[in-house]
Amino acid sequence: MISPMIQLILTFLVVVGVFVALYFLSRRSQPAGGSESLLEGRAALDALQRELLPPEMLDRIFSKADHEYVSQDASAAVRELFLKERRKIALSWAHELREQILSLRRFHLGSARFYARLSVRTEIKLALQFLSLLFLCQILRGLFFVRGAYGAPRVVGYAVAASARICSISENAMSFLKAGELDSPSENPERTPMLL
Amino acid sequence: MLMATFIIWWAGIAIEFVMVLRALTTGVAKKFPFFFVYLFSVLCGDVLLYCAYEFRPAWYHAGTRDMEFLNLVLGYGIVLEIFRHVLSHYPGAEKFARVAGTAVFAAIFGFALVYPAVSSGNASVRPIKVAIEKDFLTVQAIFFLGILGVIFYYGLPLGRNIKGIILGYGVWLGAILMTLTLRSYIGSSFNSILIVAQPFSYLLSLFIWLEALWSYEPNPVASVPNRLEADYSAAAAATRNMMGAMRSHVGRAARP
Repeated sequence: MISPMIQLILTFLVVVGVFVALYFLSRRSQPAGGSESLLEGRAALDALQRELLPPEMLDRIFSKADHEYVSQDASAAVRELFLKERRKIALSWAHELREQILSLRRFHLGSARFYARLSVRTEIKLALQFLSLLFLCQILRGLFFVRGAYGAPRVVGYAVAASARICSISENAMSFLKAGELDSPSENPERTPMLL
Repeated sequence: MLMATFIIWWAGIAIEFVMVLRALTTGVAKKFPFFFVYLFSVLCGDVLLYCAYEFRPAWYHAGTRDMEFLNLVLGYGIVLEIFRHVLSHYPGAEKFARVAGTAVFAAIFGFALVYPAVSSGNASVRPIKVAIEKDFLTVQAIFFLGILGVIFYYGLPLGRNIKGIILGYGVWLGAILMTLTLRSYIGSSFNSILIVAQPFSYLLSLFIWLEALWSYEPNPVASVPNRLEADYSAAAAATRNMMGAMRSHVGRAARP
């Protein structure tokens, strides 16, 4: 038999899980509805596409050219100020990236929950991708905080590439959301969202 | 039996009676049939057991065992209510919960089948009744946690009624499971705490249910208004275009 102590610990973990979930449930405010999450999702995609991920923007923030230029001629105080300001910008970038990824996830979940043809495998894959990307954003923030804006070039590249993967999987997961099909929901009840 | 236990017992019967009466007169019982079947069976069981305790003590112990088992089974009705009122409006989330639930049951069932074959085979000295009850409740708790996980993950809205049902059930389930586990670990010396802790946690759940189910409040359903349907079609198409464009941006950005 399983050791009584292990049984006790396992059950204790389950019970703690139940009580923690109940605590958050009792404090939970009503989540946003479908239309709100759609608008939020669009805004998130827009922000990611136009503000956070374009190569020009990434070059501007993380390219070492500016740093080299300042290092050549400026005084130590100016260099220090430059690095400090650049770190602030990098931290803001990582924070915004995380916020927009969260919005994208809300958008995806807000849509996916209505569809009976949802693929559980894709959902799990997507959940793990979102989780790892959010974790990566936190690591990036930590690295920027400790080592400055130029301290994690590879992680920045990895985060950007992971964002691309998320978008790709999310797009596949929502491939049934085609404009033509949504215009005639009664043709296939399985695909019909709950439009009330 | 302690006086405190009697007081909790009487209070429990009174609250159950009020709840059942109120639910029948306001129509709440029709909205949550599985829950009220469970509550009604508990009420009948409590009244019968009280009578047995007072007038036929020999029947009391056998009756307690049967009623506890019946209530354990009917307790799954509460999980059914959560499915009916929360998940059924969201086919995607329901499918996810169904698959996850099946996987959990399969894992537990598989473990129960395989474990005796690979274990040392030492017979347990713990009482069978406590063991069965605890195992049954552990499965319920894991399943319940899974459903809560789906509710949180997909951000499903909950109305006052169903939120109260979940909170009350969770409090009861967690407390009973913990006390039974401690009972099987510590032994019969824990009984003095168990006979007060279990009814007290149930009374607490009854208060939560009484407040939450005093009147009917439909569960809110996140909706995509009809007016937005056309906008949404355009939004979905625009999103796909944006994603395509974004991928090419990101692809270029990711290259050193």
